[in-house]
Amino acid sequence: MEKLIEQLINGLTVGSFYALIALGYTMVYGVLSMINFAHGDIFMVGAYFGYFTITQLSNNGFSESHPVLAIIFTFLAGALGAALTGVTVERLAYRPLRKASRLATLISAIGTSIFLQEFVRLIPKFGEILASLSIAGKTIFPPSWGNAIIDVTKTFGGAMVKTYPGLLGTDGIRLGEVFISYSRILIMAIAIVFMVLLFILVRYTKLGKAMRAVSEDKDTAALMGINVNRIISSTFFIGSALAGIAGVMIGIFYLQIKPTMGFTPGIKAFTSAVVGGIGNIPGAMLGGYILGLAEVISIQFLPAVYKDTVAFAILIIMLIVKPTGILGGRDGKNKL
Amino acid sequence: MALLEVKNIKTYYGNICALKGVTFEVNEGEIVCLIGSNGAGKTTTLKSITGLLHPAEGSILFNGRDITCMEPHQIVQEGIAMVPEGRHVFSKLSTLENLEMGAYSRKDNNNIQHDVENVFTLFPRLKERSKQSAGTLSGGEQQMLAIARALMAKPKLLLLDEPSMGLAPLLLESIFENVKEINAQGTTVLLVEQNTKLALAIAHRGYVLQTGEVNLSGKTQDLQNNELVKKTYLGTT
Repeated sequence: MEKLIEQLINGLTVGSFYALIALGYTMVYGVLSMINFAHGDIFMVGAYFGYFTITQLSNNGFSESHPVLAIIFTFLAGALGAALTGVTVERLAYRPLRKASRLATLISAIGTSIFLQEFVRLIPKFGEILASLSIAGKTIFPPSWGNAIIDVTKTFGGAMVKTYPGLLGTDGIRLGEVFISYSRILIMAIAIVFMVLLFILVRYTKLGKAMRAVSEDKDTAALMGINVNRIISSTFFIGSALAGIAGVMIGIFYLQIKPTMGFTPGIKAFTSAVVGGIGNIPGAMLGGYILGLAEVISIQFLPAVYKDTVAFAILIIMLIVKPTGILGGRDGKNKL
Repeated sequence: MALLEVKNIKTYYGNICALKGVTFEVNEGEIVCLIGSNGAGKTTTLKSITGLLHPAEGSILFNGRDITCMEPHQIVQEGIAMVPEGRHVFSKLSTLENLEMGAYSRKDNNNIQHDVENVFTLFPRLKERSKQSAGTLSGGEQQMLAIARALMAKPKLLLLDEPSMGLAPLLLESIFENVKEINAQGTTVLLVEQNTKLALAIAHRGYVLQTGEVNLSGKTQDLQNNELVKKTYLGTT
């Protein structure tokens, strides 16, 4: 029994990651009817921004003296870094193709995904090149700057696995025989807080209503005086910020990050969004938790290596039985 | 100076020329109708005015300002609101939320509530439906909502694209009465309509579009008595 409860909590933790990432897929699909296959990599970029921040903060002792502030800053950095990356990707890789065929956007998304992975992997190389740039035998940057650039880029990216400092340790609370670590509690709590905030935003604010209007009919939304491009940018900003938060969570929870880390969670979160009904916000949350729980339950009965198989089997069954997803509309035209 | 001056605009869909040089004007306080058969370019003309399409040649002046190259959301701020063909209410949003979207570009948030009450006076049915999602409204109610939503922008010029489409005859007359009332309260109206008889009955002046060109214009009484209009659009001889 205790084992089962611990596994369920584990499922909810993993589900929180999936749900937060799935929201980005679903929001972008809702307003643009496209799958942003670079979304998993935006999540990865968020983890790297968080990593950079937390290592700086722990190097100068700030995270020891103000642990709570350090965690908040790390999440902020991850969210903002991912958000700006997402907005830039939309502006450069998707907007010019808005009127092109769906296939063109899809290829652009896959290209962006590879670009982001390689970019993060090669950041230290860019740093070296930048520091050694020279005009007429003299480097552009003075040597002290050059070293700083190399230092910063080395800390930020690179092909090697990076290790998050263990912020929360392995402590936790014990309820009877059930042990819940603080990191799990933090992850579940943050995920729920942001999902509630998102729900309120989309439901009740002027921006949220405009997002729903754009999602339904872009031309008519423009006739209302809504700047459609700005709303699309905001959608990418919010969806990517949530992915960035999930990226920092993964760092805090699994401690290790690498440039290719976005792929599997990205695909799983996409599966969650489809299972819940892509384009539907509560659907993405539901789908995330269903997938997280299904994975841990499958581990009880099957060897652990089968958990990905189970996740994708759920996707296939869903696509056969109800292709529009659990909360999806009957016409398959899900709107935010 | 006319409120809206459309000067020799040519608009294309890809390589297809939909407007071959359309010129007309709308004066402040008027109801002007554009009539013509399917494919004559009526909707294309409205889309060119609202910025959903950009004319390749010619210019559009509103209140003396050149709006030819502006984007739709900027044109709304200039004071033009549109009731699109087929209503296009936001079906997942409530009636009230649709009205709020109509007022999206306005800065005077305090007066919006007051204007919501105003359009509810004009269309009492909408008040009863204010919490309902717009997709569940009947066709006539959706048309009222589309008009009310456009009014929420406080436009100087209201563009109506085929408001009669798919409405029962009884409802038709009441919608056209509403349009007259809106005009009487000071909003200039440009009406695009296939129902020529009704359009000519409420408009002051009219233009007849045929395959992308204006081939007839004048006061509505003159148009009503014109042999070509009678034969082609009114079906009377």
